[in-house]
Amino acid sequence: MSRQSFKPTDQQRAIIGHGSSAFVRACPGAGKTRVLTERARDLFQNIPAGRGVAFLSFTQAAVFELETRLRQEGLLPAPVFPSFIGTFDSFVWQFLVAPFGVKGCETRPRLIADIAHLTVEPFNGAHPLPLSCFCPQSGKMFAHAAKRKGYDVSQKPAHQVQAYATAATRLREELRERGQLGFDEARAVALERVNDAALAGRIAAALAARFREVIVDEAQDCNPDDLTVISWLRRSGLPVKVVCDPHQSIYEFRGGVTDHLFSFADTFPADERKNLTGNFRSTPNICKAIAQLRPLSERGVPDDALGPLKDDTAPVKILSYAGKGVPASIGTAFCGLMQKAGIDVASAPIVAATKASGAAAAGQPRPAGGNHRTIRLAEAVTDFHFAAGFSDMKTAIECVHRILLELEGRLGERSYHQYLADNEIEPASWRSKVISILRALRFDPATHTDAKGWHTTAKELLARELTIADGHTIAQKLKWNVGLDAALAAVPAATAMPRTIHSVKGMEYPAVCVVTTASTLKSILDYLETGEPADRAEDARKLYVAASRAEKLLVIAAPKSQAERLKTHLCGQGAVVTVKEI
Amino acid sequence: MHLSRLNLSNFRSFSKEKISFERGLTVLVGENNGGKSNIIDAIRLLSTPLGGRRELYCEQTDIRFGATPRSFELSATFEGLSPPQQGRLLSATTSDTLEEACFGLTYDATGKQSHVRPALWAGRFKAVPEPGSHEMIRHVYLPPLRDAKRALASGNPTRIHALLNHFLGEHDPEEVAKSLARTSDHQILADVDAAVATGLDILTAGVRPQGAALGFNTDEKLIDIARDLRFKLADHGITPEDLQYSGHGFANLLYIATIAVELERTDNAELTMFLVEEPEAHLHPQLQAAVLNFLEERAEQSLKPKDDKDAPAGHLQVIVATHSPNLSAWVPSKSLVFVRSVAPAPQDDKGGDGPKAEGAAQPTDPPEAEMQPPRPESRCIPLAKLDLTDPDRRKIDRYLDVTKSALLFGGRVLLVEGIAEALLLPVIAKNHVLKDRAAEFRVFRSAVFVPIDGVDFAPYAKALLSPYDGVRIADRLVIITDGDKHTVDDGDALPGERRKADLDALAAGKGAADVLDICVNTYSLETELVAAGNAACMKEVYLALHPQSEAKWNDAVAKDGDARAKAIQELFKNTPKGDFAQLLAEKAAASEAFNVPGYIRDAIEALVK
Repeated sequence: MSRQSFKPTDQQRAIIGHGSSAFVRACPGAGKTRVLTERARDLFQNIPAGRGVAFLSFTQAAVFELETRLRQEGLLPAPVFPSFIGTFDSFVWQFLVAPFGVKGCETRPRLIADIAHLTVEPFNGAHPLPLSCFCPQSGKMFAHAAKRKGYDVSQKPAHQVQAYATAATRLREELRERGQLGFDEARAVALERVNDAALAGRIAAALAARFREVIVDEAQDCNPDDLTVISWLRRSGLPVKVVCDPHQSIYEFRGGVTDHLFSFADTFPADERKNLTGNFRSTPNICKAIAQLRPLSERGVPDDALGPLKDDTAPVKILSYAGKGVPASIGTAFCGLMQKAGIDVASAPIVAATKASGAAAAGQPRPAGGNHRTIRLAEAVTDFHFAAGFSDMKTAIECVHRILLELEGRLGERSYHQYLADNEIEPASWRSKVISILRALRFDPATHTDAKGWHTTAKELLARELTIADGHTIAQKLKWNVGLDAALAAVPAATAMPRTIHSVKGMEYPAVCVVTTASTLKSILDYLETGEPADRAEDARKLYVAASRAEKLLVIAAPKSQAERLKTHLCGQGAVVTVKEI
Repeated sequence: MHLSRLNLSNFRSFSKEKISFERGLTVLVGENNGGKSNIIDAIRLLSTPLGGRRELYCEQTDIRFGATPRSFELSATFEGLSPPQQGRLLSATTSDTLEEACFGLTYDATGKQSHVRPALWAGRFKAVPEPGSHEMIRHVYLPPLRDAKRALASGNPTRIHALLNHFLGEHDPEEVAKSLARTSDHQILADVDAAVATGLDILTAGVRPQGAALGFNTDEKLIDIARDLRFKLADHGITPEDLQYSGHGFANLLYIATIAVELERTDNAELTMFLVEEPEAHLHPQLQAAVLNFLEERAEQSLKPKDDKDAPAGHLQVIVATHSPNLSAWVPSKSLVFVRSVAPAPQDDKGGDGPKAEGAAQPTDPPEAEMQPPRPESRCIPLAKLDLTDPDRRKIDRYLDVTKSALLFGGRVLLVEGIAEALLLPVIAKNHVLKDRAAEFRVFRSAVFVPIDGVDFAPYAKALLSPYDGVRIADRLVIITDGDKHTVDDGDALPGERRKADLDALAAGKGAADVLDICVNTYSLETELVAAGNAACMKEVYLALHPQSEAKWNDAVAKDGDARAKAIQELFKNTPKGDFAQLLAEKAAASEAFNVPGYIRDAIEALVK
């Protein structure tokens, strides 16, 4: 959509020209980024000297996308100052934590991204639990998070649970004294600021004089603490635009809770609550089908298909598969459907909740190695060479850097980011070396023959490049794993790539195949039909996110037992859905 | 918001120093090599040039000689942030009040041979500042412009452009450009055209008619003309240094033009620091004051609240480094920061070891290191921070005229009552007291002589002796004052002695008793000279000025005690003391027989000790 051709809908125009605070609910494909870009253009048109706009989002990827877009439109200077663009966490860090530090601690506060992964082990042989399982304020264990990590509070003696909490609090205190904060801890410090009326007032006045508007995108990923900060900004007189799709909240592990968002929305007067219900992405059938994936209480009517595919009548396809596991025939059938529809098979993903089931559906064996270091290295090499974008590439580079540090035995007890912070290591100092190693490690059947050959080459190369100080050999540190064959990919087959739901958030594709499994689909449908069991709400939202990525062709692979039931449910608001057995 | 404090650590001549600045104008005064330029350079390193084009970078040689570790650190503290400034400089704020911001720079060359990158930091935790925030504080550096012609030839037309604009007045720039533009109808151009055309015709005959014309761009803009002003002037037989405008030198114009250009751009920054180095190098004395007055007014104006209260404040702060007494005389004393080089206090860091046993000298201490005098370091004394009362300060401001303000430059200062002492003392020192003592005479010569035209020494003594952070302006202060016995009744304390007692008490109060020497005579200079046995040569000089007054002279000198003192005072009532002293100095220089009064000899010895 070029700028000239952009003719905003009435809903869009109402948001672009809206000066004060607003709560905006945007459906999938609503042209949200375009609206935000136009809002920015409107703001920047007459912005006085020294004033800026704060653009906040919740993932690096989303920030990167918005920033790229704003830069393409020439709306962001470099450096962005006095505007701001970044994650909500970085905003909180920059303006509420870093300048003030931590109470009772003279050292410079530092944000350590992976502090939540540090393990808490209150006694020898204790089941290690990550720090993220403990409340940053009270130190109490989050039972549900602990259970996910294999520790069932209800089965354990109270004194043991208490010992965990004490150990976690002590660990946090130690970190705090060294000025090391994770995202959760930083948010807790930020809340202390916001609750200090005098200081909060000064900060608010300073920010209000600088920022014309604060735009919070992807606000469905807010947690209650984030909402507290946003409410404070709004109370302080800063115009705040909260843009979200509550149905796409899939970061519950971050503490994001949809109910809080709905009650937050209610604090906005009617004329400050805006909706974007025009879907420019998908066909009418897809719009109708995905409306059925919203929770019963919030289902509403389907969004209007307004885009170039508004007259496309292709039905939504359900691939009904037999058996317990996810079969590779899903990928084959999906490719067949795409070819028939004239869609490039390499342009579309097979999306599943987990990497494993996505890979299974695509016919790619996925390693069972899990945390095995050699497997992680091989996966990072593969991810780097077949990265879908800059962010993925960066993640792979960082992952390999961490593995190299592990191999050199440098991390010790510290987390990767703690090590970087302690030694003030800048990316510029290691990135080029890591990239050259990544390039040298690219799997090529012609040179390596097989995974064994690659493993040998990798060991030789790393023995040359690294200095291992702890007396071990590279062979001891980079052991063979049977999963290696699967982790190494030479050339991507001309087939749909498996992706996880989290990785396709915010994207759009001509076709999408969503893989559901026998173990989850039944209860998701129960939830969608009745609202129970409530703990399936997030799985349902994930399904909604995945399905709403599709522009032209939406395919859902479902276990045979649920296929017809799914069809009936999706047809609930008039969508045309067909089932094909494979 | 303004720069209130600068901290320098191991930077060039500074070991560790804190310098404070006034909101509008601060003048750094002091001897050459005192460290004034180093302060200016520190500010230049710490902030971005307004024009964006940096000309000064950190270098290894900026680390104070011999300093360990091999690193230096600079930091600038800014006070009085308004809420919008707090918003933009939040990452640099130093306390929960948000009213103060700090930017610093650490240059650490430890273990590095080259490519040392200075680290810019901000705020109380020395963290990386928010990108872009640091650029909200700018500086303009006006270097000592010693060679106007070269500056003009340096290829930067904007200054001349500004100069033209400045004097454009009512004229239309288009019109001026047109009239200044080079004409293209000169005969020589026509001749060249014709010649070229002929050659071209032969070459291209039968192919295609070609036209050729030599000339200049007809729509030259003012800036293009500025670029070529140098050639223009040469065309008219004027060399730039000859150009006079309203009676001022070209360099003056260029200087003002530079200021005009820079002032235009200060609105986009929170604060612009105008760093003016040695304005005396290129401005007429009366213009120095005028230019600074102008800048100070602009600085004052810039503080006025703007219509848009959230916009960058566009504040202006002026910092001048000078060794011209003109400027220090012209500004209020609270704007003065005295910069001087001192030998650091002996370091007592081995105190814990107790007295060293003989022969137990540590092998790591090379003996020559102990022989070496400590390296001098620059120190600053902001006059605003001295312990002076407001009446003291007003007096000093009133007294510090051009001649007296020289007292701010010297480590050794001699204060005398009048011009006569000031004229006679150097001659007496050279030809009598310090004769054949060349080294001590050099020391004597380096001292500053200030006749204060009266006896109110206290404000000067206070300013010179008050310590600031362990340093004071004067290393030695010698005051010569008259006893004035003839003005009081017998038995009363001499006025001179009373002054001495007061001044001694003042010095003791400042912990400077050993720095101050006060030499008091019984009566006054002339009487003391007569008493010392110089009546004969004095008489010659006196009669040269008053040929008819021999009887009066004889009569007066023949008296004794208080009577003689009174009579001699009477004699000199109608004598210009300066003229008399000057003629007497000539005699004293030539005569071996000149007798130096004891208190003068004491004063000279005290000054050089």
